[in-house]
Amino acid sequence: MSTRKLVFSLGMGIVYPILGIVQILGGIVPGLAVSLNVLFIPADIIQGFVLCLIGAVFLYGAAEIHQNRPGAEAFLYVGMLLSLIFCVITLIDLGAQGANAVLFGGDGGSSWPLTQVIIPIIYMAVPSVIGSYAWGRKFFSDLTEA
Amino acid sequence: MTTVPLSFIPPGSEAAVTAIQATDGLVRRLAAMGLRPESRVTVICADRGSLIVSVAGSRYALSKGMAMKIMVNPDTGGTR
Amino acid sequence: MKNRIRIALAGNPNVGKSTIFNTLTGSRQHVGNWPGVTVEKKSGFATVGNTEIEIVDLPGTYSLTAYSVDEVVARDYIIEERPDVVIHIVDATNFERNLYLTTQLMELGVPLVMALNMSDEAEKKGVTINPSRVKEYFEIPAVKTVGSRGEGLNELLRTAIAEAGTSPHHEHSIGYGNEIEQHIANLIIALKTDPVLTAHYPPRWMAIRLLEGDEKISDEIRSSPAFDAITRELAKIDLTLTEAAMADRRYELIAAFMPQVCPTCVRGMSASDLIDHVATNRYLGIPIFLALMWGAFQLTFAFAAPFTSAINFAMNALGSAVTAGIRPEWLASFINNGIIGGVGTVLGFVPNIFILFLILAILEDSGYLARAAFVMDRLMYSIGLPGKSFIPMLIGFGCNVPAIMATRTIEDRKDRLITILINPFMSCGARLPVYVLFAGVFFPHSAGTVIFFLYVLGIVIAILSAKLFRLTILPGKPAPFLMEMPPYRFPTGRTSLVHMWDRGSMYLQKAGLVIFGIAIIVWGLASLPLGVAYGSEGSYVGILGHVIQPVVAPLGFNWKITVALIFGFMAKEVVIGSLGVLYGVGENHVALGSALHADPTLSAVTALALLVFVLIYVPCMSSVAVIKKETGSWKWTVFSVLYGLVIAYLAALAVVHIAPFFIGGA
Repeated sequence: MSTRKLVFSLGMGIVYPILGIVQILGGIVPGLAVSLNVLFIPADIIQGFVLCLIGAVFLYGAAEIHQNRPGAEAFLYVGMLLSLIFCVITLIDLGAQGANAVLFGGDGGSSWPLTQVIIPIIYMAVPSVIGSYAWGRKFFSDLTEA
Repeated sequence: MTTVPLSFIPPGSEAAVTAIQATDGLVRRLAAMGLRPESRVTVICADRGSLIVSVAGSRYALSKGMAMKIMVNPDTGGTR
Repeated sequence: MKNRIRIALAGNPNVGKSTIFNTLTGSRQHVGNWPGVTVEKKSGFATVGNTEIEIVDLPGTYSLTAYSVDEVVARDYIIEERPDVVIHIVDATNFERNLYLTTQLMELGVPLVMALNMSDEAEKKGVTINPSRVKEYFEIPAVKTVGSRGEGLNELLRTAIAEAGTSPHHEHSIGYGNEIEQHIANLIIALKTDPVLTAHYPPRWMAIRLLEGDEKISDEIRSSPAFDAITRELAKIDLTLTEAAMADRRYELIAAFMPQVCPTCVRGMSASDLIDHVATNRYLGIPIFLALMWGAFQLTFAFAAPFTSAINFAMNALGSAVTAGIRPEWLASFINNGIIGGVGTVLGFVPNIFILFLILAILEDSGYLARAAFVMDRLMYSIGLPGKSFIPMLIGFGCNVPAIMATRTIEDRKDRLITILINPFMSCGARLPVYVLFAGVFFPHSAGTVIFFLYVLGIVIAILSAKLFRLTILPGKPAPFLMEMPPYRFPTGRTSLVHMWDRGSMYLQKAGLVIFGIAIIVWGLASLPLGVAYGSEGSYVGILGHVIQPVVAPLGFNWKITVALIFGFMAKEVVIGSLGVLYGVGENHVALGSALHADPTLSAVTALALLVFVLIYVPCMSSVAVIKKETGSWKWTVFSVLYGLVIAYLAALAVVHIAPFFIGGA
């Protein structure tokens, strides 16, 4: 199994949970959120758990790849898939909030700063996009044909 | 007397159909494909859940579930 | 004191069944014939510890149809003699093709144990079947054996004895897809009109056999009073198509499980297998499901928000126009609070419901939902519910209305009923503002914790209620979990939209009317007698509040709270609005908070009792309307309402008496 996949999986498997835990703490520990804003980490607790989960999938995959188990690359593919899915969901969510504010001056903030978009759940999907292109094309095309 | 379901025949082997264990409608459908008692069938390949077989010169894809209903006499060489 | 159990050995021909039988029984065996046929019957005895086992060696068969005498003999023994356990002996070197018989044995409803025979040769071939995975996926304990050397046989028997002693059993079985399952359900209804028949044979099994044109069963029903009903049902179905589809479905499941149960058995995994490898992983499966459901909720809110805002905007605009333009005032109030309020309540749900159902339809059509049900199955079984119950429970945290409608996919009536009855305890989104208000005022430093505690309490009560119902009014073991593992595919927009429309429009048709009706009634009570301010002390609602108040006095609720709770029956969101009116501060939450804080009749303990009461008592009338629609019965709907009220009352009472020890009263 390719070393690059192992390193990628391991890397994502470490960074994602770290960001996730930090994000969770930001939501629980009062006052921490403010300083975290500098790092572009929102204080959304559940989102933090999702980050940790994606990290867990990658980490599990790294372990399986290392032990050369059959089907190990599945965790890598699904990890990337999940990271993309949640990035898209969050983008849609932010977009809708923005649209809502623009159209109806509705609840939840009138302006829509771009910084709201640079959060872990979105920017961590970038490596996944690259990874998908590099390794996942066959995997994804299999799915669409099936 | 060793009749086995068609799904037990390994790829590359041939067998002779002895019976179709299904209701009339299905029997007719399979017969239309050439799968009827006495006809010979070759298993070309066996993939996740489906078989590609060759009957009277034509190839068909069958689900293994369906293949369980087609009883055949394997040519000598057995099913192992 | 010796135990006696009966075990039957089943399996394909040539799997080493006879060898195992001979080793187990030694000289204590007897060879004869099965009655009426020229098929050899071998039976014998074995002793393991304290248990005396009668072992019957069934003829080797590839399946359990009626096409060969062997198969009929084998299945008749299992159905009529009801052995305590059936040991299914499989050839580990050719694992996959043995599983076809497994799927048929699973439908007989008898406890099963699997012997992975010839496992020495399998391992030499590099095939490693994981027994714990077999148990995980098929819910059948598996033991590796080498019959020719007598290895593993002791463990096999001990496992079989243990399995015979367990009751009830968590069973897995094959699901044949919505369409065929509907046929099966209809056939079971027809079959059940003859209780003698269904006492003899398992109903679901009979239905399946009839759909596959089983001659023996077809003969059996000829003399039954249910014959006509059954024939009529069968005439509606294209049986050839169904027969083929069912065979396909069995193998579809086998094909989906093989790579997970024995990765080394298969040559390479497809994309679908790879996803399942992760999606059904015993550690990651549940968290992934929860995360995806959270994502689904996020999407629902996101897409629905603009529509909801638009509807609110329109309602408000309309409301203002009416207030400004229509006289007399009572007519304006009728249109505003009654009609527009009523319609507004109904419409308010619409965007959320439609979009949630759309997302669910997409998840279902993609094939993922079948996996989700699978991973949640074991957890749900421990509560006494089927795996599919988890989805309505989860949706309930958003809104109970679509959640109860989503129980439609649960096949077994009792399972569905229990799921519906406990759904209101999943604290829906509309109650949150009430929590936030009261927790914020009376527990300023631990508001978040209080709210979290409420959600957990809701779940705990749901679980306890489920167990209570199982033990008392809806007894029986949960129906077998019907597994389907269709291949993953991208859902087509059209089918998903069709599904969404089916479910959504049903809500509009039925629930909508009822909700609207009740809204008018509440408006009436709040506006009469003529001349009173809407929803004030002098109106019928206010009077009602005063009348009921003594009942809830032990809970510490004043009459204003009581009125608010009555309005809360209409819709939980209204609780705050009505309190605002009653305390004279309108929609201003901050002012309302101060007013509540200042009210001497309200204390932290009372607030907590109120919160618990709001959590548990009657769900909104929309939910009640949907409960009536989905259960089709007034009896259960009324029960649901009363149960909620009683438990809410008791729980709030408990809070009033216990909480002072922890909170200190003020």
